[in-house]
Amino acid sequence: MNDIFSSTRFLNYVKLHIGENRKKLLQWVLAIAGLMIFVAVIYPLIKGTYTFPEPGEDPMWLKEMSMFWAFLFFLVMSTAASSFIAYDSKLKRITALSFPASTFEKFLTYLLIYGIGTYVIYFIAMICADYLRVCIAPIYAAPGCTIEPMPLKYFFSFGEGLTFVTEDGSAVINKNKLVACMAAFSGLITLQAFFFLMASIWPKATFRKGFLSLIGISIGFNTILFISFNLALKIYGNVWMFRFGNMFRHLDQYITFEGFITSGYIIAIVLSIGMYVLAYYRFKEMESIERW
Amino acid sequence: MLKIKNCSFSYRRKGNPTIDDFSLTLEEGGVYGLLGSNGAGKSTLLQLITGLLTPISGEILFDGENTRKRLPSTMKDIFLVPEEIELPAMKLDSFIKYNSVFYPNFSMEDMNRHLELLELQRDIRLDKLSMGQKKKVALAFAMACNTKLLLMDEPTNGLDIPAKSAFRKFIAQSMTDDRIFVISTHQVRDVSQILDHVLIMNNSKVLLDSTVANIQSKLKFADTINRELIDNAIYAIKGVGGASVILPNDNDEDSELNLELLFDFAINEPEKLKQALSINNPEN
Repeated sequence: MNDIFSSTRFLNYVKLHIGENRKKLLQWVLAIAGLMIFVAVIYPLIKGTYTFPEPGEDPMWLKEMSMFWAFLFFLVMSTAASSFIAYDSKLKRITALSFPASTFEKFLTYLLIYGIGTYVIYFIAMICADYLRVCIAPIYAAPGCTIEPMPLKYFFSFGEGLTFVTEDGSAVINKNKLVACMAAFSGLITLQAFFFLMASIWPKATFRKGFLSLIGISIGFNTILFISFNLALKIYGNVWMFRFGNMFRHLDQYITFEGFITSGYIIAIVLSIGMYVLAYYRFKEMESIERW
Repeated sequence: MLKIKNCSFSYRRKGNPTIDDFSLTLEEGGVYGLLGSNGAGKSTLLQLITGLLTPISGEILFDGENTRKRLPSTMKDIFLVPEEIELPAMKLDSFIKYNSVFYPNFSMEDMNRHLELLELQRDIRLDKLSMGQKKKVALAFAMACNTKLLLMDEPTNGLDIPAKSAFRKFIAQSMTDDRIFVISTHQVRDVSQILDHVLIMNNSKVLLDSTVANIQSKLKFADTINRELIDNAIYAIKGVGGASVILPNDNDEDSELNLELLFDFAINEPEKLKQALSINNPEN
């Protein structure tokens, strides 16, 4: 018998976990769907978005894009924080830990449902809500209003697209937009991994504790930066500050723009993998009692 | 076979260990009664055996495998029925469907028989049950899994009288030569008829590790008002107008095992009990 991974056992465990938490998962899916429908269908009705026809693209695209991104961040953090709900009480831990599936299979189940599953449900709900808007809005919209489904490309590139056309007709990469995309995706996967790790340490009240930890880490990191900067200034004086500032202004001498974008993604991926690995080993050592 | 080798465990890093250098061997084919005072570490021991707690030192091996690793190949042969039961929000039918696939020896026939004896329907919702009903479901399922090692922590707590009788029947019917049952309990009267091995622990030590047959062959238990018997007893608890006594069984007589009295004897005079049973150090 393979004690690390068996596809049959893994699938049975996925079915078991979904079956046991059916109510909670359904509530979660309905909450996401409800939120999307509110943004896509109810919001334009309340705000009168289609009261007057506007030239150009559908006016709801920009509003949807920004709200959907905000919800995505919140959703990813909160579902990752719920990854280990099967272990949030001593009684549940006794049952779940003594269950004859491997640690790896259990871990993969939670990653699948609360990690990948979040994106799948989110995007399906988002697309369905958007199409629902396109079906319902023409009923109350003023004649001449542009009502079209939001392209996914619009969502992923924060609106205008990653390139723009210059006066001479050539397409140039919108560097600011690319940096924003890199920051958003990197932030998303890193935050998800962070809250997943927090859930493996504190299965109960994870979101609150994880959020406070994040604030604590940010404050700590910034404090270290601040102290280091001032220390360097004291030791090396203004010359150091000038050289540092000069280096920062001419960053493109040290790294290409593409290299900067790629580094951002690589750092995020490496950090995320590191946190998932930590979460796995923390989960492996989990006991029926909480020691801290 | 279950081997506990020099196991120590503490709930706090700096504090008295709950289990200290504890050793025990349990052989197949036995129904072990695990008795001890409150806080003696019975539940802790069961959780250690199931790999739910990490010992500070020592190890626990079931069929040669360290249970702390919680490998599926080991865990499919171990089932722990805890004192308090939490069941998921689903119907019993679904619970059986999702959970039974992980226990290769699970028998639907046994499950149906247990449910009938315990008067439970398969379409009941588990989250709507009382504590006693949840206990019944847990015991019925645990028995039906037919695992080699079945650990039960206070199994008769919350059970009504017919259910207690059914429980005794399950144990008697399910016992085979390759299985080990461990029943940790204070309700000794509920289980005294079905035990064939008694373990009494206190202060991390095994005070008694003996078969019921051995105890009954060496000791005689009686309730008497006879002054002479009471005065000559190895151990006695006096009551109104008489006493419950333990006497040496010189004439090889049959008597019903009084577990409560035996437990008292083990806690209060362990050395005398050892002498009376003429057994070696039970930790070997």
